[in-house]
Amino acid sequence: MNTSLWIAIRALRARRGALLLTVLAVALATATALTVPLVSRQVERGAQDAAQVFDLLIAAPGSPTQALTSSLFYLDAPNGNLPASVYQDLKTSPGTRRAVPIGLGDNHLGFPVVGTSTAFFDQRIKPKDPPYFRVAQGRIFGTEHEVVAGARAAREAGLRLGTTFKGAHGLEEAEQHEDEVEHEGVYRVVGILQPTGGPVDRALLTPIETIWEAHGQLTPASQQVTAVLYTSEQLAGIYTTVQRINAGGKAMAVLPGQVFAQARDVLAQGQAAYAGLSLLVLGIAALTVWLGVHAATLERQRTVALLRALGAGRPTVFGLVLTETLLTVTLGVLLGLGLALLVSGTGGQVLGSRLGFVLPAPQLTWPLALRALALIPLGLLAALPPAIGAARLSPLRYLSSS
Amino acid sequence: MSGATTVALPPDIRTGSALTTHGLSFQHGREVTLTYPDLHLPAGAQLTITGPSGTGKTTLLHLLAGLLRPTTGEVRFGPTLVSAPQEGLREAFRRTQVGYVFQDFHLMPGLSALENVELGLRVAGTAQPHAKAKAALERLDLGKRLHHAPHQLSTGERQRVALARAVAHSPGLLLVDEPTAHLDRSRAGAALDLLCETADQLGATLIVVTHDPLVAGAFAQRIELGELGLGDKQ
Repeated sequence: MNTSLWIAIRALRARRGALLLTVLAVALATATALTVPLVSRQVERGAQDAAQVFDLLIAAPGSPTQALTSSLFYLDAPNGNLPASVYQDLKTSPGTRRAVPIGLGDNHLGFPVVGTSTAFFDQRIKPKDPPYFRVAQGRIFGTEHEVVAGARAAREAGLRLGTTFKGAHGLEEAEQHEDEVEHEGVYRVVGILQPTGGPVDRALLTPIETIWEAHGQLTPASQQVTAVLYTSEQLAGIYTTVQRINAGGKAMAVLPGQVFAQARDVLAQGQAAYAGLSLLVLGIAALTVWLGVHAATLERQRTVALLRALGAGRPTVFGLVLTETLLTVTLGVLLGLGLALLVSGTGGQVLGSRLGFVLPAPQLTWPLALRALALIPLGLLAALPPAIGAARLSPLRYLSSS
Repeated sequence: MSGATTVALPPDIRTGSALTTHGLSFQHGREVTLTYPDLHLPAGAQLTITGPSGTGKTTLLHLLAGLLRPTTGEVRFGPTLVSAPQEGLREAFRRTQVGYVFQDFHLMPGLSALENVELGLRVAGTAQPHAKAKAALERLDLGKRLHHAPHQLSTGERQRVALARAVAHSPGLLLVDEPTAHLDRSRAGAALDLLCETADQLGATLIVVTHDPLVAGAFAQRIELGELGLGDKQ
């Protein structure tokens, strides 16, 4: 082992109390700087995963983001409803591979009852892929009032095949149960989906006709849908459909990717402020490293003087100071990276559970890691003056005798 | 000022290197210049340098070790010009040829006895430093104190650890500063015997600085430094 490294490890061991404090400061600063960006990216990736089985979302005009959060993630009230004729037109338009209606408005114990068609179960990531939503138990619905429950909804609401329940009006469970308005129709569970990690895990899927019946939309003219998930036969078809829908004015076509990009832009502004704060925290960590290096100066000077007296050259003692700092900061940064991954992994699970979809494992990218790794050269920079001081130190300075 | 006296010891009967100084002086500040007698010590010689405090005994040890450069004159150990201006050369000399026992031992407090000795060997670039450090401590009867920190050792034990560090790399020149300063009379004699025996086993030249007449009296060869370092052969 290199002499500087051998001595540095033992010198740090001798100052383990101070070492622990510096390492903790660096680790906490690193974790603080990385956790929020890691979780943001988890949410972004998780949200994008949920939107990968269709090309376009057609919803009532209004906020594209709201349309997506309501019809795809069941997290918000929709902009409004569309005449069912929009769905029928899309379904029969040339170039349409698939048009899936979405009808919201009811819930059971807070889990959204989603009116749709059997085409919902035919959605795929790629045309040749197997269907994305697969039934784990039972079958898909055939007639009105039959329900296929998402895996999480079934588990948490205690739904099994054959279980019946009454739907309550509203997208979320009413806080005051006495005020809750229950529909007369009884739903019966006929299938339970395999978990996908997406928002559909929370959904109770039923034929759209059930929703129409529950809300008294008995004639074709009165029937409405919340949204349509549209998939085109060809890429070009997506853009012509967007133009056609948006030109009509009755509905709005939303490209999920665009919405995510806009959301990312909004988030980016917040993240820029957070990045500034992170830099401040990292700066404080660098200052802690600097203080740690300087606090040990007197003790180190005695060591350095002894080493020089024993014949160690200036490069050896210069390297010793830098090696000590390098070890301290590297330990702190590695611990911080681990801590950031742990916190964002755990936080991602909690957040995903609230948002209704599973967030993927946190993914540390180089640009993010570099933010923390920048502490290493900063630490070395802080150690440079004492390292130069050590190299200049006279061997006799601290070895006083008579 | 030049060296007033030449100290010559009996001819070298060993294979090591001779230590010679010539015209040695060292200026402390603007006012004080210490002048030392010329020395010619054959390999394996044992010499004590004595004198009252402030006569430049330790400064002479530093000059002999290459820790200081003389203002005038030169120091040679065998073919090596110890007083050379090249710092790297003096460092290499200290690493490989010098064993130095400091008055206050200067053991690293965070290191065990074994690690303190290993440190010296590592600086010297010796192969198998761990095993050699252990062997050096065992030779000095510290086999059971290897992993004790300096503060867990008695003064005598600390001195032996410092001695083990000084001799583990088999130096040709062993320089010892006030070896009995921290010891009582009964232990001082044993410490001196150990120093002389160890130097004898290594075939190293031993130079001991002391202000203690008892220690000085134990050496057949000695010089006594007077005011401003001017020495008398005895």
